[in-house]
Amino acid sequence: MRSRRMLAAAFVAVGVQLLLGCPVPLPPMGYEESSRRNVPATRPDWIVEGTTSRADVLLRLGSPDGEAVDGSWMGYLSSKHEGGVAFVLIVGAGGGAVTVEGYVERRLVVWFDERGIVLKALFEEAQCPRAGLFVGEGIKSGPCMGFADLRGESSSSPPHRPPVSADVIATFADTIWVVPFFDLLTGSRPRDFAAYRGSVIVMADRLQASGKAIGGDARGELEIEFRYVTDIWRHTLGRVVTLVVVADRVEHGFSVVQPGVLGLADVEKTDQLIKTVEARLNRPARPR
Amino acid sequence: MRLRSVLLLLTAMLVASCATTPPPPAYGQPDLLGFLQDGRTTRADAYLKLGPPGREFENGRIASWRLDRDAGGYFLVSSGRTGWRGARYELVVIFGEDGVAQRHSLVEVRGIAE
Repeated sequence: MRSRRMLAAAFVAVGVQLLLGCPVPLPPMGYEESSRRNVPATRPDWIVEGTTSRADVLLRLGSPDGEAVDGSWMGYLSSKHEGGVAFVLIVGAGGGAVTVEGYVERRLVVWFDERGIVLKALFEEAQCPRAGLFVGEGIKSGPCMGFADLRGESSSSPPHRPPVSADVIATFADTIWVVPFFDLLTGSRPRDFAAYRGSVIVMADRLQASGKAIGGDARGELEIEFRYVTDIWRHTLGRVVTLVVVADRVEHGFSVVQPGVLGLADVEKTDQLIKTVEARLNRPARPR
Repeated sequence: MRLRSVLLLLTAMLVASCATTPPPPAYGQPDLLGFLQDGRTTRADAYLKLGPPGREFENGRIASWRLDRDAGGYFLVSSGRTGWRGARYELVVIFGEDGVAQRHSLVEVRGIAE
């Protein structure tokens, strides 16, 4: 009787362990690869309302991460990994992990009058936990801070340079894009990749993407000029086909999905996207 | 004979441990930004040297270029990307109405580590 209870307890313990996974502490990794590091820890005292100009701000901080189309505000964001924990799971014949990681995010927004002089500046810092699920492919929740709350004031999208040619060749709605797709040096997916769902526009001389972060509210925009593209791949993993565009030594992955919450892969439309980009670059996508 | 084999193997291991892979080719130029002088360099000079800017503000009065740096010096990085991956610096230049650079700054966007 006692041995049966002990055996049952052992099964329960193993079952709970399998459910919860083995916790592995994740050390702090510092600033995300795509994040700026020069948002100060406090509101900069060199920003003086009524005196500091837009030029002064740009000379000290560089170009913003978000801004109004009319120039009425500019925003700067940074994100720093503070560590976390990963629960390693046994899933079927393979493995995976659920992660919970802490980030410190900072946002500095500066508003300007019509002369380009600072009206006000707002600095915020927040602790932002992010959860991730990694079973084969991985996905993680996005940052807490963005500029969506300023969208009512004016557009939060940073305007890019006017395209040399505005000819739109093709538009693909419901596309998932991931950057970076794979770390070129290690061949593994980097920890700070970002995934978005939105639309991709193939233009005569560039590729533009805009959408919402998967698992978050942040907006993402991407523009790749074809003259900077060094390689393109047709990446196949099971039933999922991905166009991988390499530019500036970064891989960008694009997969068209079917409308709806599930976002099942749409291989036919992804192939159309690949063919369109192949035609613009006048080179075939290599299989991978 | 056996001792010779051992010595040969040991020598090979020592040589192999000293072998190094050649460094990756350097993209940077040591004097990429040397042309830039406030009060003298024109917008045309900057565009010829650096290409069109990644960002412009105030109807082109302010221009910026993203840069990174390796053993060879600074090199230009495309601004058509999400985030600051691959670019640690940004050159910001303020031009006057006469198209001559008034002020400039090389901002260390990702060079500062807390």
